[in-house]
Amino acid sequence: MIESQLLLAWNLIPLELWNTIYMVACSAVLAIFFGLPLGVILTITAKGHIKEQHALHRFLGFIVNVGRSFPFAILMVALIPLTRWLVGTSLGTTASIIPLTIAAIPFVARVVEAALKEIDGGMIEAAVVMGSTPWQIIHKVMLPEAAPTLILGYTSMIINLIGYSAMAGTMGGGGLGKVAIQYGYQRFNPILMLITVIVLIVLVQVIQGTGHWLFKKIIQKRRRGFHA
Amino acid sequence: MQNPLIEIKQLTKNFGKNTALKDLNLSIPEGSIYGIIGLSGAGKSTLLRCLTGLETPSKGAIYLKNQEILPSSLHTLRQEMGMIFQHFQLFSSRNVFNNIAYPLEIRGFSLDKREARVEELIHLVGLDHKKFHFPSQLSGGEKQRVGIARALAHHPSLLLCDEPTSALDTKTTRSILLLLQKLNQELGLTIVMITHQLETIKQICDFVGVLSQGKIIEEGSVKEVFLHPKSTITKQLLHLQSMEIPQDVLARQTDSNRLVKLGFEGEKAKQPVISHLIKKFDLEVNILGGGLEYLQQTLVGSLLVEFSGEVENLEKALLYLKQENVHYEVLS
Repeated sequence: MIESQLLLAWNLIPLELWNTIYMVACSAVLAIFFGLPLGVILTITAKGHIKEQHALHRFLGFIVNVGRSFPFAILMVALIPLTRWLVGTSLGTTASIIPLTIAAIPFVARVVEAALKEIDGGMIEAAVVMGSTPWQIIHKVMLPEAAPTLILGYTSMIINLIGYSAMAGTMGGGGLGKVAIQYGYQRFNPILMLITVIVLIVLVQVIQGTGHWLFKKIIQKRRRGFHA
Repeated sequence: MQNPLIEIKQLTKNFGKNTALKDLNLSIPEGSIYGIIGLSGAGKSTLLRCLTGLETPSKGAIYLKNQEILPSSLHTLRQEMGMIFQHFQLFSSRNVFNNIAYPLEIRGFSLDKREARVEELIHLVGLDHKKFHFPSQLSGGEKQRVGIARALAHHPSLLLCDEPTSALDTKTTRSILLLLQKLNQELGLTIVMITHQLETIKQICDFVGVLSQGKIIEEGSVKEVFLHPKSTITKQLLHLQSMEIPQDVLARQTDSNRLVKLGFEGEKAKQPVISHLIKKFDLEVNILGGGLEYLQQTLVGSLLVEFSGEVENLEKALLYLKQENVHYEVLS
């Protein structure tokens, strides 16, 4: 009995782990691709910043809030038409990337905004007085200054995505969530459920650890420097 | 006076109903070190922000090299400006080398040119051995040196200083001021320094403008303004810094004794004025305190004394001081 369960786990889990990683990685990259510029625009259009644009700031803030107020399960259902249009189907691993990305974009935008807001306004003004263009301020000053905080933010985003991806698995997506629901829950297979949970725990630990390690690495470089 | 590098005409800046600067006129000669002093809330930062184009004047105009500072001309005019800050504002993500290179980087200089210029500047400010350190590894004085090097990278003709030594200790302050003086003399750099520290102005400035309630209420050479202050604000500023006179000493002043502050500069300091006063006018002189300092490289002494004697003789004594061109000020 146990042997057959373990064999099933051995057949299922590596593949579904790969599916989870694939979904999360793709949607994380896409979410940063769209969310980072959104967060930057949210920051610089705020009052007193380098490109103050009250109406745009309010509008984007509203859109981001709307995006964040959807529970993921509902967002997934609501996005089925969009997913079908983009991917051709609303089922499967690749299709899950669309709702996962859409769910993560507003989160990334707020993470980026929070990180950039922490930068001393005096430093940005100094860069302005030196003759920087807004684009130079963004990519040569603001983003490098905020890099350690951004990395921690991206780490939590990825971990959130792993949670969401499990939910996507219950609704026709692939990945570890599917294994836990289909085999662990619906077919009463406690061993498979347990193994899935353990694999998820390890995955989250590895990602959080890597995020922290990178964060520390940058901070330490800035504290210690390179001695020539 | 040389040609003015900066000409400020009737500058007014309002924030809502508050007026930060009111009809301010000022001209800053090329190659000078010009100090602007004022208590907090006098409008110092607003003036500096108008100079850098961070604020647009509500009325009036500022000219830099005969060109009006306007949003449209700012990009060109910022080429002429470098600025240093009270809290340095170095980029924590860049090491010393890359901080100094920043103004060159944004102007599209090639790596070779950047490197050559940064080497030159690092040497100029004396940080050769800290090239690859990050700002968090530097002391306050070293940070300000990096700030100065960064401000000068693109060969500006004007260095704006916003309280450059207020976050530094006395010894470091002195070394930073000496560096600024050296840059002024060797590069012909015009320096505008905003500060609330009288000592800073005394040590290196050629000219000083006293800012109060959005106006320059007194200006001139440092010696002139500090030895012969006219406005009450200037006098207050001077007294705040120099000898604080205890209330009971002030209270015991009567008709037959006077509390006088004497100022001696250069040659005057060599004449035995006090002993003349005692002999000629039969006065008793009680010395309460004194000090010696440099104003624009001239040795200046000050003495706080209490004269007592006949009222008539006291008047004569003061007249004598006037004839001898000894600067004095009767307190109380």
